[in-house]
Amino acid sequence: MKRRVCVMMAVIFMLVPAIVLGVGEPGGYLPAAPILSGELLGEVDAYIAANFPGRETLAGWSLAIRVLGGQREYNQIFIFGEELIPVLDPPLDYQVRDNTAAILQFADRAGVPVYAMIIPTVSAIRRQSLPPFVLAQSIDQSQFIDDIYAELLGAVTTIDAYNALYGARDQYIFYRTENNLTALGGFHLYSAMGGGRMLGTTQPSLQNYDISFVKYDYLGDLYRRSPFQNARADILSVFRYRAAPREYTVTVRRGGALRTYHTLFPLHLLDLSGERAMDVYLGGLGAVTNITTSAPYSNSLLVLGDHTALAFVPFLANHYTQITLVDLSQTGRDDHLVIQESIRQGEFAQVLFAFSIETYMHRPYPAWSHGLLPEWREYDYEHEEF
Amino acid sequence: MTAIASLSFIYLALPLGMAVYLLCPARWRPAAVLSLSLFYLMITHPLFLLYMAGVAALDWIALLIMGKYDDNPFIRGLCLAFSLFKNLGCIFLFGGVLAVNQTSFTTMLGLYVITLSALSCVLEVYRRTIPDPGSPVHFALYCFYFPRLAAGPLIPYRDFARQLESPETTPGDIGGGLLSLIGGAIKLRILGEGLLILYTDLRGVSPSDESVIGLWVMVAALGLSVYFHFSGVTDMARGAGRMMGITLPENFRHPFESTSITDFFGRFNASLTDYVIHVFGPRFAALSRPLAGASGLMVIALAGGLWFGFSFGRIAWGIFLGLFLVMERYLYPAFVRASHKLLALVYTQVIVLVSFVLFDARDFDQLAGLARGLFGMGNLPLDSERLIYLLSSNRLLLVAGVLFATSTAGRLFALLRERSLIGYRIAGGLSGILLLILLTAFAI
Repeated sequence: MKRRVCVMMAVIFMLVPAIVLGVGEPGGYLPAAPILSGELLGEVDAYIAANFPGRETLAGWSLAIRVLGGQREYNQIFIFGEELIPVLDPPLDYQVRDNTAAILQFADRAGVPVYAMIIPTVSAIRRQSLPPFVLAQSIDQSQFIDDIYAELLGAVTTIDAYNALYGARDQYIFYRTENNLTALGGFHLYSAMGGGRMLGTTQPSLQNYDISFVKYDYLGDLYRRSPFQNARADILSVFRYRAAPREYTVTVRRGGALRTYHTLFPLHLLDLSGERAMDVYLGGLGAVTNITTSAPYSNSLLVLGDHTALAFVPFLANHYTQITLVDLSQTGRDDHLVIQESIRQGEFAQVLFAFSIETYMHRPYPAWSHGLLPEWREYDYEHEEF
Repeated sequence: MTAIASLSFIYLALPLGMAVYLLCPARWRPAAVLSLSLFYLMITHPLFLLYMAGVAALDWIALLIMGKYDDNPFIRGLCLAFSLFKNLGCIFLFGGVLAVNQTSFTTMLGLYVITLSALSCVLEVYRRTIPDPGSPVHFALYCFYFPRLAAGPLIPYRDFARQLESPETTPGDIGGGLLSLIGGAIKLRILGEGLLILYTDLRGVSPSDESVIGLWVMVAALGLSVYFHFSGVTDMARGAGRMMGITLPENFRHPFESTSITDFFGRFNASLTDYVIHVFGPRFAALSRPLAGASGLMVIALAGGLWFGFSFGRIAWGIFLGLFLVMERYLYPAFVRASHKLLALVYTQVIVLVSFVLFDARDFDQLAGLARGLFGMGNLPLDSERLIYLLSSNRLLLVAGVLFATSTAGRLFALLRERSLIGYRIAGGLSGILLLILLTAFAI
């Protein structure tokens, strides 16, 4: 091959990495592993994958080909019509045991009424309309929740989220592309609380709310994991209480930063946050979220929960002057000390454990509530485990 | 070492390596390729490189001594014996250790390729098929040529070193090599890994979901997955080699079209069969005395099993197929030669399929259970809902698997080439681009 052709081809070859690394959207972490660690290549690979030009389009094509080939499950998500339904793995028995024991201990020591709500997933609520392949791989969530509630009986007041949601199964209560309840789903959970002893109110009505649709093209976390092109985008809506207008102040502590909003629904975040449009609810889920309301009550509530809290806590805000929402997966030592002190001072009249069934089955966050009890001294803050 | 199918290799290491290669004068190209191979090994498997460099250096010393004492058969024999015991010892000792520790399977194959290559060179010098090993760069590149370390193919030293005298490439070689490399990566990452997932899913079904057809599909998925993994990796090695002016032998020649088990060994990991015959002498596999001939065939088959790992299943797989090799040679040679092609094909594929029951077996109990189920003696239903779900979820993969395991696609390309060279080149180029997009989409 002539020298000139060789040089020309060499230039073309050199352009390939330049284009791949230079054109794509910046993303991922720059490889930092030492050259002799044997891990550098893996990091470089991850970096190229994260920055590849047209990454999202290519990922969408890949999934479309898989679906065309008959695949109905990708990245732990079932693809069903226009919906993405997360696969629920079997429960981790030790985790469930630890979580239940922790709630019972908390109820024993907290000295205030404690409530618990385990929230089922879409695959349980819509089981009648889902294909057999989804059901074949699902556990009986209703039975699971009943078993846990039976263990909590007597010490904790349980809230029947399952039947509240099941009764509304034909409504838009779960997002199609996000693993969470819609605002309407949150309203049904709130109704379940109102009908019980927790709020002591009559059955709430949707007529007391102004409903606004704030985003029509939301593609959530399920879509990002499984970018199925035919998935139907979600609509984000906010429910504003109109029966008795109130003023709200929401402070969210997340990653060391503290943000304050004078509304339950900071709509301006829709323009700013891109993928985090869900931050429109309470400014997003922080380690500790404090909501103060100009309500004519003197109630206060501590909610220990997960992402599902964003759906129903805005409704609860109308019934309490103070709600503290704690996501134990994000909290650190300082947060725990502050909450411990609040519990010691008797600042909370009620405590609500509200977790999705996924969290309850597979994560230790309910069990980490031990660290919030004032008399608990053996909590290992360094390693965040017992 | 299937790092060869990673995005970083395809979009970073390969283009930069090719640029360096093309800019180098021809005489420096082997040294450039060696440097790139060693660098890539250093960042992927630094300790392994250190260890294997030591192993290969001992063979080089043995070669130097053989050269110095060229007229002393005793010393030459001693050097050969040293190399033979050292390299086979490495394979059995470290292969066993790696298997016990469940270390990366590809690291084990790298160990095989390097030690067997070094041994081959010593053997050729001993037999005087080549006068001397020539340049140490050539010897080192023969042992450490990176794309080959993932699974071969094995090649005699004389054939490899001859090509390094003045390595030359053409735009056609670069294009063809790239197509082969991308096609190999598709085989490995999409077909091989997809079928392995299907195999794992079928293997993991609950007892209530087990079925006879499910077990047959399971062993077929395993067989195809093994084929696509290894033929994909060797296609990539051959493609990368062709781009750099090095021709490597074909290692998998559509083994699922074999019409006898003897034919299967000539098509499945063929370079290993050739290597064993090469090491033990050309007449090794054609020994006239039945006992010696049968032993030779069993060695070939056992080596075929051990190539995939030191485990009960792999050894049993080799022995099982070895028995058929022996029977075909000494018990029913006329049947193999004279039977109708379709009958021979069915006979061979049933044996090959059944052999993959052994391939992943852990012990006799598990093997017996699987065998009972396969032949309808395990009170299993014919099919199950889970099987139907898995079959329907993987329908395109299974069709593509069966299609690309045969020579259909290759025949179509050959037909096109006969009819229109331009059409063939356009089709080749377009296929390459489409396959690269497909590979990237599945890899990110």
